[in-house]
Amino acid sequence: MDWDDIKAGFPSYSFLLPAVFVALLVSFMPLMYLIGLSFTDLSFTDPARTGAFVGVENYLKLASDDQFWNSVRITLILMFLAVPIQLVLGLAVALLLNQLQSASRVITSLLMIPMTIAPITTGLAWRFMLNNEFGLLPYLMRAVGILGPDPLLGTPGTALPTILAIQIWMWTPFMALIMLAGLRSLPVEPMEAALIDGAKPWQVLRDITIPLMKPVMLVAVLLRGIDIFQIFDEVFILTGGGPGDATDVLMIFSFREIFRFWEMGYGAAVALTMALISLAGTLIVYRFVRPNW
Amino acid sequence: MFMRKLWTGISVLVLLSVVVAGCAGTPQPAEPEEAVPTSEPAEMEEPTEAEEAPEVARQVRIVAEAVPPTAALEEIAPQFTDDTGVDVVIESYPFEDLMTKVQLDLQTEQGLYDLVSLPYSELGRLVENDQLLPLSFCLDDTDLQSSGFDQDDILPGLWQAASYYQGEPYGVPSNAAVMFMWYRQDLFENSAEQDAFEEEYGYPLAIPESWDQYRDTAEFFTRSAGQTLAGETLDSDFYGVVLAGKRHKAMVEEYLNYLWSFGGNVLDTNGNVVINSPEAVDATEFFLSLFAYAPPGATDYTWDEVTVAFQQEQVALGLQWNDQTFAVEDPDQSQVAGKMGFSAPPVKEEAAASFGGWTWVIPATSTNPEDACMMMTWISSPEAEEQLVAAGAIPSLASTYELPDVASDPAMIATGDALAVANSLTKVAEFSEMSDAIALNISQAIIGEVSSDEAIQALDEDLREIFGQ
Repeated sequence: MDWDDIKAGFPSYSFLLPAVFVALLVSFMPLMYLIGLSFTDLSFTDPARTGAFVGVENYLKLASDDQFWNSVRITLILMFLAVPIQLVLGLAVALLLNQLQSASRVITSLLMIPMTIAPITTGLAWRFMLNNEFGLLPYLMRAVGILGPDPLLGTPGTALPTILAIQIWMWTPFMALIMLAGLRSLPVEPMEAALIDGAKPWQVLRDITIPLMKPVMLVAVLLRGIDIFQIFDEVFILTGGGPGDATDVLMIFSFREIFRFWEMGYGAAVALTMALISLAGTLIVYRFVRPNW
Repeated sequence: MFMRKLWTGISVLVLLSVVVAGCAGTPQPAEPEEAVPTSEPAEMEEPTEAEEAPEVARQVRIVAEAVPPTAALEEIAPQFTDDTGVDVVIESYPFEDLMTKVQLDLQTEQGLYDLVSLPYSELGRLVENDQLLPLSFCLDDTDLQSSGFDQDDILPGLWQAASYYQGEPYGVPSNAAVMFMWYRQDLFENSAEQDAFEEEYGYPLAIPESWDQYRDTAEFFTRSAGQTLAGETLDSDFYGVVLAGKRHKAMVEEYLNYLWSFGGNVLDTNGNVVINSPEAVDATEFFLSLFAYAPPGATDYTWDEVTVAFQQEQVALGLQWNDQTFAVEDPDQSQVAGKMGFSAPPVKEEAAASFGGWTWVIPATSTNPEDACMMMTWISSPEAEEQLVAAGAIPSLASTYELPDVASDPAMIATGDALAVANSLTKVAEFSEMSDAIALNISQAIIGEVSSDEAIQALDEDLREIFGQ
């Protein structure tokens, strides 16, 4: 490309500049600042730690922090359970809605309600409903004999499954909507041809619909996976990471370091490590899962 | 080639800007000495003709927690404006948001706020970082103070606990929060219950003065649905005691009542970690033993659920904050209004009550510390405090406790008794980390993951790591 090409091409490139500027301002620069911060000892608690460069000290501390690894474990458990369940349920709901041509608009609108509510509001509503003594849900569960006297959120064995159930309730509609959009964009000819050739509906689903839907499912899994990796509001309101450390997800851990302990350097290292884990997960899905599909 | 160079150029520019921003360093708070006003207050000066021309409106910006007394302050603030000509702007936020707002203002030195209400636990960290003005400039100069203010009227122990750091005052109390015992007075006065208790335990039913008595009483009043309580058949289970058992600040503050009363402590006066003691283990064991007589959901309770349990007529005893009594005595929201009694917590080795007071402070970044001093002292004057107390605030002036309405209020009497034995955690800069370590380890004992002994040992290790001991 010589100068004449540049001059000829410049007007078109110039249209990109505002978007590039905004992207740099709101995304790239904070990220660079975060990276820089993670190599410092900045603390708003200790006046002696004013942001001196400490190399990888924060990352070494993180690697040996049991609470951090406990948070990684809990977050991954939540992610690996919630996303597949939401995917299967979302696909099932989408298949059903795809059959209900006339009623699907109304049902789709109703399905959107849980995800249009702010997570903090959802958390508060569930907190009231799950109150062990006055809440509706424990009352109903005890009425049918599936819950003992112990509180769902105050017992280690049930706190995380309860949060998992709320996640599924809240975000399965999202999966269903994505799947429904995917289903409606599929060509109908292969299905019709298979049915004419005598294939049963479940064979069409298994051998044609699901394989064709895999790119859509991949996007949905990635979006939900990344999102659940950052789960905070509901957990903060419902359990605060407890009982003990049974629901101490990564964002709660990160929030505590930054906004309770004011450990800005260490907190930046936590946030960056979370971003890297999330990125690694995304790449793994793309590189190893997608080709096999 | 051109595009590659273009992007390289942009990247270098961005990196450069980040590096330059980094070199500018973290904003450091102004030296207190620089920010301490030395001039006379503006309202005391006679303006000359030359000075009269450009009149700039004076303003004090206040930020505090979103609680009823803050709303009440907003209502009476126009009186201050009428008296002084200084506008008052009040912002109120939930606790978590409040701390973030204040920290952001201090760290960026914007000087948004002139007067801030903070829990005493934040004092050490902010003073160590030179982010608060020592109050001597205000206390030593009566010209800067509201005419009704008398510093000798502030309860000395309360003032020390809420607003002093290393012997120096940084503010005046804004909320004299202290925990004390709440109990169902009507149950204790019921003759059938009195007889049954004495028959079962061999001593008369009375307001518990010792923790053993407290546990006996909790056990005694724990009843199942269908049993009788004070002559009435219960529709649902009734519990002897309510506890804040969630991994939360509320649980830490409740636990400290037992710890201190049993003779244990977290840090000694020199800042050494002393939690690993038989007294601390006994206190933890005692706390855990109470859960047998508490609602099963108590492992998930904070102060909110404790209040609700009382309001719903579900429990007989509990430790709760004094600034919540209005909620349980309001017949519109409580089934036990008029049936409640309050007193200082029971005693084991030592009398103790968990203190959670708040204090007004003036940030070092305040652009108007003189008027902030005037406002702070006005709020702490008897006239203003009387109006705030009517809206649910807890008094911090001795003269207010002598007002007939206050002197005869059982909650206020109990407040006075509890404040007399109040204890607080040392105001160290690492207060939040210390509190979180207590919450985590005691919570693990509550849910049975570790024993009391193991919890205290783990807490000891965590605290030693936090304090580098």
